[in-house]
Amino acid sequence: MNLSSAKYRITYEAFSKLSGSLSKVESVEELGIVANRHLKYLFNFKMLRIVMLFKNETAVSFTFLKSKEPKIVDSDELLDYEKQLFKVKIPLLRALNTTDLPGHATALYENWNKPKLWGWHTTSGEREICFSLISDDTESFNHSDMEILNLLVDNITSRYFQIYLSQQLKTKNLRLKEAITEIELKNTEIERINNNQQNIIFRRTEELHFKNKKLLELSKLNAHDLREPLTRILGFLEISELYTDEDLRKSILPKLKESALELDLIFRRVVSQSEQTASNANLIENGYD
Amino acid sequence: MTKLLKIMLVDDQKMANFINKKLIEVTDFAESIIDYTLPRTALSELEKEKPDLIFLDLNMPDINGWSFLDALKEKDDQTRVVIVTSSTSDLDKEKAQNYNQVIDFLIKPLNKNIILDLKNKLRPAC
Repeated sequence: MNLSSAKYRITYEAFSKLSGSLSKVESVEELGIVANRHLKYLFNFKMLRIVMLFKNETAVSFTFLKSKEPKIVDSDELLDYEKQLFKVKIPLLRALNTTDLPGHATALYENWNKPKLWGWHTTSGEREICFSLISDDTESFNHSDMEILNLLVDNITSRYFQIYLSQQLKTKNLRLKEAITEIELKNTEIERINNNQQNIIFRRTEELHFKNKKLLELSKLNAHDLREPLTRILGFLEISELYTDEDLRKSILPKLKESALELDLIFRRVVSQSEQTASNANLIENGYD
Repeated sequence: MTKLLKIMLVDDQKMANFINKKLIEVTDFAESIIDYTLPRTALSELEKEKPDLIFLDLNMPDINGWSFLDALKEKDDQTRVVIVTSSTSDLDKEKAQNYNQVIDFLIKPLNKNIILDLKNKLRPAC
């Protein structure tokens, strides 16, 4: 086995470990930590930076510095050479300037020996990715490492988007739950209003039954009690022609008078009862208003 | 020749019976008339008197016209009844249709013509 094939095998074993670990991470922070831990086994580098654009907005930047904590920034400012890469999409390789470094890394420039800047652009579905790497004479990167670097970038960005989408799903689910809770609350409220309406309808119906009963009583009083003595008076008039003047005066007129007095009495009673019913109805209406 | 009737008047108002009796007499509607102001007494003397027709008032204390009709039904007494009431309520008229033996519903005051109409109505059956 020659040296290059041995190196190739070791690298792929390291990569397959990283890949296994990445598939288990559940947050963007964890993704950064896990990737950072494995990077040094894959290729030489001083700094690796990956920037992802999603629908032309800066989604996130990952900055890995050898033996340092990874830095992950949401809505990061693009570096000048990154802007150029997104624009022209042509890979670059040149000597590194201090201005090429993100603010937090500028101090490191002094420690590096003839540092070089590598940069690439790629797309994957709706996302645009720009990744760049700094190497120097002590930690040299070369073209044979490209294949593994491409795989790494693809792995990290895919995993990032999976996490991003699952978080969005969680947020949406949460909002949905809140909406459902809100709807349930409204339903309860509607039920309460309905019940209340039913109570009101029930009460009003009772009230109407009561009024109807009173009106029926009154109508019966009018229909019978009031007419009864009147029909007698009319009856006496009807039979009056069958009597002589003498008999009429003696036996019919006193009965006629008695009936007329009775009619007057009942008439007074009906009027007073009507007034009472009307005032009761008013009381009930006012009481409920 | 028409067979003359025996009519029973049931009305708590004595004067009402007096008027109706006079009208029946003057129209030759009946051979004999018996009148009652107490429906209870009228009911108990039904079998003894066996009238052909009852003039029945509706609005009476103790036993009203409807209870009187129910009592007849219970006795299985088929005597024909003419309701004679001072009520102009349609409800009463509708209710009367539930009783088969009620052959007419008359509203007071009666007069000779009403009695004569009733007499004509009953002639073929008598």
